[in-house]
Amino acid sequence: MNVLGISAYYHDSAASLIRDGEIVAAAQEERFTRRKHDHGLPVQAINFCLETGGLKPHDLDAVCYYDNPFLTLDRWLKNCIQEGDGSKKLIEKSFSSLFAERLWVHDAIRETLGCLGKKGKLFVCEHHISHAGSAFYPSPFSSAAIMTVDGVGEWATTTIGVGNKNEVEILRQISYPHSLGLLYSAMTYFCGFKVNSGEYKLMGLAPYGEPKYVDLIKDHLIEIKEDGSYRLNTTYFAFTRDTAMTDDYFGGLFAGRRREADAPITRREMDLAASVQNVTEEVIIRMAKTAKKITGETKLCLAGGVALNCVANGKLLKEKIFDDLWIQPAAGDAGGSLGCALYFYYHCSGKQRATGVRDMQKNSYLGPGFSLNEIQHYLDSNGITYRLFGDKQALAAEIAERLADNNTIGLFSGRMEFGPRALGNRSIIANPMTGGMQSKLNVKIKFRESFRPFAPTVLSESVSRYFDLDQESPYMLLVAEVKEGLRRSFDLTELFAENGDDMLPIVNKERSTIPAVTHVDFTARVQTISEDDNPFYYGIIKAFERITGCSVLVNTSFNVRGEPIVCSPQQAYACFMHTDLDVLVLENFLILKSDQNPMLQGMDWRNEYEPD
Amino acid sequence: MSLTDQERTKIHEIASRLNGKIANAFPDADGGSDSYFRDRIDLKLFERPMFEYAFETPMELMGELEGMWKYQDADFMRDFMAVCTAAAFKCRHAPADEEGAKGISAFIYEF
Ligand SMILES: [Fe+2]
Repeated sequence: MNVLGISAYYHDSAASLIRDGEIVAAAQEERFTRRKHDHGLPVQAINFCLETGGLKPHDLDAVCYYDNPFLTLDRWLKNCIQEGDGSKKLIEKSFSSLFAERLWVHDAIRETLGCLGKKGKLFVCEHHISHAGSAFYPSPFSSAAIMTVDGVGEWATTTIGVGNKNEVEILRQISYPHSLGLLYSAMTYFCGFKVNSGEYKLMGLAPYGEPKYVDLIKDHLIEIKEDGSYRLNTTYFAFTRDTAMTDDYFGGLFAGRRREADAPITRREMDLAASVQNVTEEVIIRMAKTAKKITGETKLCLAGGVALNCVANGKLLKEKIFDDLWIQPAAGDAGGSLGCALYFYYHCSGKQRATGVRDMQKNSYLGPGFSLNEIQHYLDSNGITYRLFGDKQALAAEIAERLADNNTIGLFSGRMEFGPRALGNRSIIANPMTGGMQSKLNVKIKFRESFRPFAPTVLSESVSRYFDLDQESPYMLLVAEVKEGLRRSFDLTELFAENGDDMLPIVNKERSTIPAVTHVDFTARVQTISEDDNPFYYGIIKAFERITGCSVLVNTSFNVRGEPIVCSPQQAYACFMHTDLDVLVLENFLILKSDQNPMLQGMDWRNEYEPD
Repeated sequence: MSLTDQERTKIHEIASRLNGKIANAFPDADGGSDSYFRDRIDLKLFERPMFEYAFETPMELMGELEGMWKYQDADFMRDFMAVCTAAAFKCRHAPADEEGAKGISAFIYEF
């Protein structure tokens, strides 16, 4: 049975293909269209899925969509009633997307595919069921509690549910306008970052600040019950009535107006980030205790945009409320395409869901891959100088040598990752022991804010040598502390006293023996890698370990600020040429910057994409 | 002047009128109990985790909306039925307006 799942018209449109319960392909539309968080119908992602599965649209047993447009309309109309005369802006903001796009999703998909598969009908799945399905079905657990937390999907913003064999059920719900995700997004907006992409920045900024606004947030913005349920004080938020997330009333609480996107980041934003992060963690941890109490389960699955808050995930793990945790790597709306397709399959195929030691997500390497022939044809036809390695082990050794020499390397190999994280197939990798590497990568290669931390990839067998973590984290969704013995003296308060709000000297101050991946609070967003996960990437780190004794690399996504992660060899080469990357690896081909035609360099890549 | 100005105005009128009648259109988050979690069964959202989405005619769309609001005991929502149906069918095959087509501002959460 072949089932196509689609998410579209919100954030991060995507398509996924399931065959007999196996995930055959999944990708976000932004990777093809090069529009970050593309919200349109994922035509190219759908075509990619069909091609990978060797299918024509009429071969599909079912086509599923991850959201119920009727319930969304119901919520929107009731929001209009709630605002009454003040609903004009809300109507202008969403009228067209509701009546021209979402309600006609079946028309649009039928037009794109030419049909709606064998059944000729579109199946729609509730938004949080889609999230819950994406969290539970690919997990290795036969039964588990499920938590989904996002901005909003139809009515739900937060749910607690349970998964058991083929069944996924939501038991408790918090509904719009009360939303932890929207609280986080409102603070993201207030701090001058974009909603839906700037949340990571806020999370990265949090360790620089002190959570001094926690009481103010809890007294005025969100009331939290013992069981983790909560209610927002909507008076302070503009999203129910306006095209903004917050207004002056919100600003009044925090001594001033919203920060403009290009204004300097001050202590206030750092403290706000620390405070909202603290509140988020409190809610998540309390809610997890409730989920355990309600369901009696010992395992937990997570999805929804808030599940990408890996700092909160790390704290949740540390609390040991559940014995084990599995988080959907495409936890945001992209993963909804996977969840709705799996939900359909497990309800309509009559097949029993099998579980094992490993999950079904295939390391999230579910996107497009390119053959050696395709790459060689591209390189030759563009006169690009390269070295071809017949033996991948030899290539891994060569890459490791260059990493040890502090080269920065664009690594393009295998199938592209599904979800926001690059996990070694579309990654920029570097030596984590080098002082100044964090700001070099941020400023000269990624063209992004210098304060943002980088993540480490560590060999699975060595994880506990470097981090306070004794389990695998293959999807980079857990934050853990760098081992005490590796840390260097670092006093943030003192450094701020010396440098004012200037974060660059602080970023450049070495905090551990692996400074490029150690955040200012000594934490790191860890990816573990085993040979089974990804033999080539594992081999590179292993070779690097042989040379340097270090089993860790910096791993950041292969893109520049505001650009979606590269998908094709062409995009990888363009990104390589327009940044300070030293080496590009395209499968078996090694490409050195020093060998390239300088005429191709020099374009200011910063103007190519809007800041994210 | 947009094709759907009339419907936008009408929705605003109905919403304004109902605002005076309905104390709280959102699912109740008060209650004063120990929890703001609502049991899914009590929410009466029209419990259909997955279903065939297939309306083609105005009557079919009206039937879907009527079914949903009847299930919710939300009789007052019937006032929106005709205008929503008209809006949907006027917008069928029409591209989403400028705002929708380009995607809304990156600083706004679209829901
Ligand atoms: Fe969502």
